[in-house]
Order: sequence, then C-alpha cells, then structure tokens
Amino acid sequence: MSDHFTINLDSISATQNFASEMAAKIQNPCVIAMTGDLGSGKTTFTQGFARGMGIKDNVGSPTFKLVSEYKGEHLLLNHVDCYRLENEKDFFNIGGEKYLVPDGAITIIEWSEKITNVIPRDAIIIDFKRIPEKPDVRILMIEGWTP
Amino acid sequence: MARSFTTKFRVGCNKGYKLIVLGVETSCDETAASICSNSKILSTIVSSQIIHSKFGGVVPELASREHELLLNTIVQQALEEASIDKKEIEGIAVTRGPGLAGALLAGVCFAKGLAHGLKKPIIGINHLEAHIFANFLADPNLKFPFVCLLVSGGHTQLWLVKEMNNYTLMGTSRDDAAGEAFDKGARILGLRYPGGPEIEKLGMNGNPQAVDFPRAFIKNDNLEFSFSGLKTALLYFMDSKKNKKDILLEDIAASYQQAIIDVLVIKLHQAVIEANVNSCVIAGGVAANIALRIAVESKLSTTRVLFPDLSLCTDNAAMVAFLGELYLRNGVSSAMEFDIDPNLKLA
Amino acid sequence: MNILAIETATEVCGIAYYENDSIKGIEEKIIPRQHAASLPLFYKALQEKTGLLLNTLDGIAVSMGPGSFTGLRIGLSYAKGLAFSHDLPIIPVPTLQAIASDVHLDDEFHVLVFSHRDMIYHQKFSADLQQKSNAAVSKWSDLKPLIENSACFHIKCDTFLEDHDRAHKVQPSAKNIGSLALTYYADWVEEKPYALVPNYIAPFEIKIPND
Repeated sequence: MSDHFTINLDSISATQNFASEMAAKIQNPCVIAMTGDLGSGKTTFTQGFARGMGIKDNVGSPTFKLVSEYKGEHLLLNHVDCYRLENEKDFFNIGGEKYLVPDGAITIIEWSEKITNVIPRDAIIIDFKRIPEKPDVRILMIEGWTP
Repeated sequence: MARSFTTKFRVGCNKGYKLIVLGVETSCDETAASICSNSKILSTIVSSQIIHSKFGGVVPELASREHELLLNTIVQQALEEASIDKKEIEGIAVTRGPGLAGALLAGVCFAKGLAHGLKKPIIGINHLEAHIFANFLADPNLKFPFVCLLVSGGHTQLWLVKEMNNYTLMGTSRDDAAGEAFDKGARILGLRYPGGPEIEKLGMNGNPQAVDFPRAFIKNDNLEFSFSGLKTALLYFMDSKKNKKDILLEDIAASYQQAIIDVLVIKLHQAVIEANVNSCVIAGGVAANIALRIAVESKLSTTRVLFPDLSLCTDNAAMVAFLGELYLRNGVSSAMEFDIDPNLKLA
Repeated sequence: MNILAIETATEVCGIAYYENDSIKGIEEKIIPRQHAASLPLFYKALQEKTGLLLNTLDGIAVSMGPGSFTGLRIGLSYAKGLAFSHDLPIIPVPTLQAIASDVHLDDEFHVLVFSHRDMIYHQKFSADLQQKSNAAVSKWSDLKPLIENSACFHIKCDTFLEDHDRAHKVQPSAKNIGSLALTYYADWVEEKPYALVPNYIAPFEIKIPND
C-alpha cells in the first residue's frame, strides 16, 4: 500500500497553512478523500487548501448544497460533502460521477466514508482525528502523498 | 450592480394579467411542482412530503434526489390538485440554478420537453431569487425595499432587496450556515434528524443562559456570520465529562440555540438600520424556529417583520411558479437553448 | 409508424424523425457537453424541416445507455417532457445494441464505448445482431483478453486498440435508435414511461474490502 504520513497540527491556522502548502505542490488533477468525525477539521483544511490553489472566494461548508465549485489559478476545485448522502447510488443521483474523474480540477471530498466503494484507487486519503485532551490539536494521517 | 443572468429576454408573450404557470424545482434534494395563476398558488407538491406521508418515514430507495424517477408523478399531482389539465398550462418556470448539475438537468430538460410539446414559453429561474419572492406569496402587501435574512441549512445571507432584479448581498456566513449549525449540533447532542426542530423542542424547557457558547462577530460592524466555532465549542463541551454530568441536556440545547439566535437577530437589526428600510423578511427553513421569531419581533419592534409559512421557507416549486408568472406576464422568457448554471449568482 | 428518436449517450447529440417507418429527417452533430442546449434546438430545426406533429407519433425512442450519465439524463428527461405533453409512449433502446445494428459482418463482434480512464463499456454480438453478453463495464486489462480475436466497433477507444488489427471507429446515431425502436416496438414500448431511468452501469470499480 502507499506511504502513510502523519502530522500534528496545533491550531486552525496551522491546519490551514499546511493545507495551503500542500495545495501549492499539487499541480495535477486528483481526488482527495477526507475521513474523520464532526469538527475534526475537514472544512477548515479545505479552506486553507483553496487558498493555496489561489482561490479568493469564501469557502463555506457544502453540507447542504452537497457540492461547491471554485476556480483556482491553475485548476478548478470541486468541494464535495457526502455528510447527507447515504451511499454511492445517492452520489450518482446528483451527478457525482464527474467529480471522481476531475477534468482540470481537484476534487476534495468530506465524509468520503459514505462513498468509499467508488473512491479511485489512486486518490489521496486524509484521515482527521481530534484528541479530547488537547482540543485544538488535529492529527492528520495522509496516504498517497508526501510533502 | 449588474446581474450575471444570461437568460435572453424575449418580448411578446404577454397574455394579459394572468397566466396559468407550472413551476418545477429540482435544484437539490426536493422534486417539486406547483401551479400558479394570477399570483395565487393553486397547488404545491413536494416529494419529501409525499414519501413521508405514504410510507410513514423515509424510504431510502425512493427518497432523495431521484428527480428523474419522481418528477412526472409530482407534476401530475400538482395538475390534479389544481384541477388543471396539462393543455391549459400557459407557461413553464423551472429552476436553472444554483444547485447540483445532475439534479437541475432533470428538471430543466423535462420542462423544456414539455414546453416544446405544448408550444408554450419557458423561463429559467434563479432558486435564490425564488426564495426571496416567496415572501410576496406570504404577504402580497410586502413592498420594496426590504432586507431579507435567508437562513437555512445551506444559506445564512442578508439581502437588501431594492426592487425586482436589484439585489445586494449585505452579508453571509464564512463557514457553516445556521441551519447546518442546528443540524450538526443536534447530532453532537445525540438527537434525531431533523436537527433544528429537535433542538428547539428539547431547549424549550431549558435555560438559554446556562452555558456561554461563543457568538462570532457579534461585536463587529460587519454583517458576517460564522458558526463553525460554535459547533466545535459544543463538541468540546460535550467531550468534557464534568460538563455532561452537571448540566441538563435541555439547558445545553437552549444555550446552543440562543447563541445562534443572538447572532442572527443582532446582524439582522444592524442590516435593517444600515439599509434604512421599514420591512424585513426572515426566509428559509430556520425561520420556522419560534424562539427566533420571538427574538426578532422583540429586537425589531419598530420594523415590519414577515415570517412566511414553513411550506414556503423550505425548497418548493410554488415560489418558482409565482416568480415565473411575474416574468412571463411581463413578457420575459428564456430562449430555448438556455442552460443550467450550478453556480448561478443573485448579485 | 411515426416515431421520434433521440441519441445523447455520447458526444453525439442527435434527433431523428421516422414517418411511416422511413427516416424523414435528422439533426445530429458531435458537440461534446452541449446537449442540454442543443437538443431542444435540434428538435425545433427537425420540426421545421419535416413538419412533424407530436400528436401523430406512435412514440419517442430514446438511447438508454450505457454511456455518459449526463447525456443520458438529458435525453430521457427531455423525451419525458415531450411525451407527457401528448401522452406518448417511450421506446427505451439499449445504446450498444443500437450501435451494433449498424454493423454488417459475417462474424461475432464487440461494441466498445470509452467511459473514462481505463474503463470501457462493452457488449458482444453475433453476426445476426443477437446479444451474446450483457452490456457491462470493465477495466481495459480485464477486457483485452476477451476481445483479442474479435472485430471491435468502438467509440473513442483508439489508444487501447492501437495494436488491434480489427478495430473500426463508429458513431452512434439517432437513425439507429429509430430503426431499432421500429423493429422491436411491440416488445419494448412503455405506455407509462415516466418511471424509466437510464441504464447507467456505474463505470467505477466497486472495491472489494481488503483489496
């Protein structure tokens, strides 16, 4: 299996800065599948990531709209949120298939656990964890990408 | 401010003061259809209600977003309830954005086929604009200009509505919408779906001052919102065993709800003063919250405040049909080749 | 019979009109990603050229997939709208079979339609156009051994079939949708067509746990 890479981030800005740097290093379309519970930092990470792609728009949570699309400097960003979806069938009902093969875009998926069966094999996987003893810290485990 | 609305206008469809218009809405979760004539809603059908009432709960295989499967049934029901035959339809209004591309296409393509088959005009409608115009359905005496707080699962926005086609976004949420804060808060508290009503029910007998949850930007002059910090504050609060033992769940729910309401009310008040208007409207699913309504009416006691019916606050086709009829009566329709726009903006 | 036939499963967007079993007009073009805008325009153009009247139709034939999810959605949803206006039936037509119907060979052959990456829709047919397999989607590496000795009629599979000496490029057409619909009308027609959904065949590997 691919390499694992773990990083501890001790604040919102540390998470966003890391995400921003990661985005700047990714030049080609890809899928980033995020897993992790409520409040573990997935949207926060995405905000930093979008910034690193040169996106100036406000990046809000797409929980209800399911997908937000943004235009970055070199690539588009598809911000998908599967929180309200049941499974991959639900995902395809909304035309989700095109986000799994992003054309000139990066697709970043929150709650990707819901559609784990159709996440591409070469997707970057990021798992987010909190530790109750240190509320501000987030532990990210990344598979398929190293800095 | 120029609108990024690419519908081509065509003059000459004016058939007098009233038209029988079919409205179709498929921008996200709901499949909805409605008949409107002379600005009166003759019928309004929404898929989630049908599914719930028929099966007493959500049936996953039939549930959300199966617009292709459900649309015709919904349209037929709308016609039946309005006692209108499809040959009597004089115009079709369909949401063309913003929303999910796959969902929007199902509605727009069906609507185009029907419009072409019946040889009637069609108009593509902006979903957000339709939400704003739902307020005129609620109160025909509502006059421009007014401030609209659109607060739902997907939106927390303050709009200055000066007149038709003249809207200014005064403020929005940087992260989570208020409705989402309710929904996720409910999940953290272990409550069932839907979160907003569940928190409201639980918090009704609770003490809203029991826990001091953060109220982002409340002291700022800006009209921005942020609820993601509130969500994590609740998460941390529930993580701590000590907190969970000492304080009742209804007090936590009431306090969490109060934190959301305080921010909404203060920003709305600020917006009304800034815009110098006499009326404001609270639209969107969260507008159904009674505690919010009481707080708004109290804080904005000298302003005319309107709360549309819940059926108009959640996604529906009545608002689409209503707005569509307004456009079509004024000779505005869309060219055949109009496309969906998942990112359609209002201003 | 009089039917309208719609093909939007691939980059081709087409609509054809058959009157008394023979084709009277067709509007068709390769226009990637513009089907939602183009299909209604093509219908209008076809109507003007042929004078077709919806109330004289015996049905609307639609290419049902597999193919592009978006394209299929557009074609079927538009067809349902047209159908509803005059209570017309819909004749669902399998896309790969329609492509096969235009092939004249004395041997078995495959129809291949590129989906994305290395995923390809495919189906095997006999010389007399009987289905020898179900329409399916596979990774190229799994498909390759199956088509090794078979003539392949394909859409956008050029790079995969570079070394294949019996590969032929084809295009789907609303003409084939119409002719197949006329042939199998009695078996395929749906009088109450509104619950029809395209044959999507999700072109994604459903991962097996521990794979």
